[in-house]
Amino acid sequence: MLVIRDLSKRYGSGPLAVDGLNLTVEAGDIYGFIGHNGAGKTTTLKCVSGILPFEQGEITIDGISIRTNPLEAKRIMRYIPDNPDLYGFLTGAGYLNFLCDIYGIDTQTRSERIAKYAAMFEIESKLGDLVSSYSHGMCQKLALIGALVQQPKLLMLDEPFVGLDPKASHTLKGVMHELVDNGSAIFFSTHVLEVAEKLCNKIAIIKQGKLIASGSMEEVRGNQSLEDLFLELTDA
Amino acid sequence: MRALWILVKLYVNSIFRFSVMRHSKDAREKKNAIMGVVAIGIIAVTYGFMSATNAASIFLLQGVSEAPFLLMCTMASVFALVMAFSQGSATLSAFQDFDTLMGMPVRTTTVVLARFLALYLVEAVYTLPFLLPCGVVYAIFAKPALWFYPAYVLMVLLVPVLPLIVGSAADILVGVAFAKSKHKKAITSTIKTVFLLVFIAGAYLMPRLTKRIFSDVEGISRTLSRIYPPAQWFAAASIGSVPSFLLFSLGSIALCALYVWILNRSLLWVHDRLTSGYHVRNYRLSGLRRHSVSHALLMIELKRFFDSTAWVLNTIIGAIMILLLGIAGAVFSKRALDILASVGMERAAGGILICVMIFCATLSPTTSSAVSMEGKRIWISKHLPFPAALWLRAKMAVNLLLFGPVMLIAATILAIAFRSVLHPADVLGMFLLPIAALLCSTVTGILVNANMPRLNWKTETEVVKQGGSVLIMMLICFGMVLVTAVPVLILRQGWVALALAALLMIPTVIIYCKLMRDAEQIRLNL
Repeated sequence: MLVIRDLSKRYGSGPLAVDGLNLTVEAGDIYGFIGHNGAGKTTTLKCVSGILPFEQGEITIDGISIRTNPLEAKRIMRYIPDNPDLYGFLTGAGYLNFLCDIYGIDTQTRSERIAKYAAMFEIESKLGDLVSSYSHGMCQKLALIGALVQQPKLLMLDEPFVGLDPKASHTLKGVMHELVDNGSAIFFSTHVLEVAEKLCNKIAIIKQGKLIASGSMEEVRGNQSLEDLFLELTDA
Repeated sequence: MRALWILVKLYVNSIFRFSVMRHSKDAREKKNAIMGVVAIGIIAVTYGFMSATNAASIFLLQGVSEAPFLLMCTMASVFALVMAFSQGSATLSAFQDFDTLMGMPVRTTTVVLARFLALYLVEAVYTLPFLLPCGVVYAIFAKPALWFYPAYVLMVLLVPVLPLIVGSAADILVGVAFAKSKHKKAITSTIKTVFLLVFIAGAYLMPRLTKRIFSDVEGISRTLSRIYPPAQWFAAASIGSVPSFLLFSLGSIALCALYVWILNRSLLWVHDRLTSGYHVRNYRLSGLRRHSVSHALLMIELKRFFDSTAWVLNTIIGAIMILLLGIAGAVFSKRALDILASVGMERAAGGILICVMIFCATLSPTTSSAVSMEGKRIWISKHLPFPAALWLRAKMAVNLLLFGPVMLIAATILAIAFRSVLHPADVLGMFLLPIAALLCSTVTGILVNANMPRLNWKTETEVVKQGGSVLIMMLICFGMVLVTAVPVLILRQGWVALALAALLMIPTVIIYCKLMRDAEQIRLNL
């Protein structure tokens, strides 16, 4: 579903933020991406989602290159940043309707999906309010609903559990499983190693822009806990 | 005191982007920050030149008097009042780092004072050029005693204080009064637009006052003194009145202290009110309609525009002025033609109307800040699968929708009202040249803003009033008005306007094609 080959990205004349990264996410994967602050996780996600240009390498989503065919690639994936700044001047419903317009989702389908996910994340009564009045957690939920109504083939999330209440976190985990069961893939960054350990079937660890471990959870972790492995690899 | 100094430094740094200029590793960002300050400098020099020549003319014709001080103080005060009214509450009470700051061991008084000083410094940058040159010219002509210099500098520094207090207090009151209204933005935008129109009417009267000032110094002084007595105190103090000096300086300082004290006492309540919003009870999802991508993008741009009071205020005035020009043309056409006929300029009517329309249409295009207004939400536009060309076209469409219809209406009314002196070519020029200028300013605005984006802003004012691209566009549009007005007014032939319209379309088409060709790269590089 997602293939990253030799990805390198540099900001201005600074050092490489991502350095020759290779990674493959397959359909049905819940792929965790972990690393220290500033390790290059968000930069990688932004390069994949077409938000940032990159100097070297190739990224394909379901065989479509984000560099040469960005619109087609973006049509089948969604990305939610860690602190989603949404259109505060729209109502929650207005924002979701706008996204559905961009993805060309018909009226019937959008109504059903918005109603379904808004109920799951318990914000259906808030959809008439302006997004500017939403809390961080509600913005996070709205951004997630906006991604889920599209039923993307690849969903990328940057720290998705930050700001969510325990019930919404539980709901999100269920939705993630539902999505991959239907043939999609999820690639997400997190600092919560316990969540990654329980939720992901594959994991990648990045340090100073370089991938230092990747593969199935069992392969990477071996007999250790993910926390021990992470500390061992990143402190080395 | 240390905390106050640190906070003021922080705000001033944030507004004028000194850190970006010094430390940014991004050459483009650095260049944009420098260009913004350069543009402010050019505008300040223009004001300063106007102030100095005005003072010198009056002193030469009338002898040394308080008249130029009175005039410049009034102009600077009105300017400061408008600025404070348009951004006072956002800077003083509803600032974005409120939670961070209030959670720190810093006294509320320090925070309020720092905010007030930051706002004051921004206003001072714009008001000093009105007043300092005037004082320099006075010093050359009158050779005053040594005490004049420090006293004058002190008074000049105090001039923005009173308007700042009145403007920001009014802004806060309007914000608080309509905080919980569903149409808060529309109401505040309307109130502020009306206020601005009154200000423009005042500015329109100012040249007439300036003209009269040469013949009726006392009468004008009395009028301005009645409108704004502190200007009279300032003027009298400038030419040596000690009681006026004490009244003006001590009065300003005392009022400032009182305002900061009140603000300090009410900050939490005001902030709470200003940041509270409208909530729907028992909302049920319904009425979701499907639109095309172009329509959805245009609606987003229009909603974004009308949601921003600062943006609306900064740009809509031109459209309103065009409409007022049309109405005024219909009502006063006969009188205007009589006046023109009396000075033998009847044939210039078409040219004058065209120039005024171009000036209004290009005063401040929405496109010069349309890209920057995306702010931190740029990730949405960069990530969603719509062509960047459509995105840019939606931004241009807002400006065209705002100005195009009123321009056509005004041109039609004017063409009918002045039909007796207009040739068919004049009429055609009255439609085509302003529209060509509008198209040119629209595409140029996007080009300039795309090359000088400022996405990491905290308040919209930083983009729509202080943004480098907006200031650069002001200069470009001013140049465009000059380039078109001079031949139209001198040659007074209808074909000149048509030829200029055709000429203007050349860069317009080139820039438009370039924008459409590079749209994806422009969006990706933001």
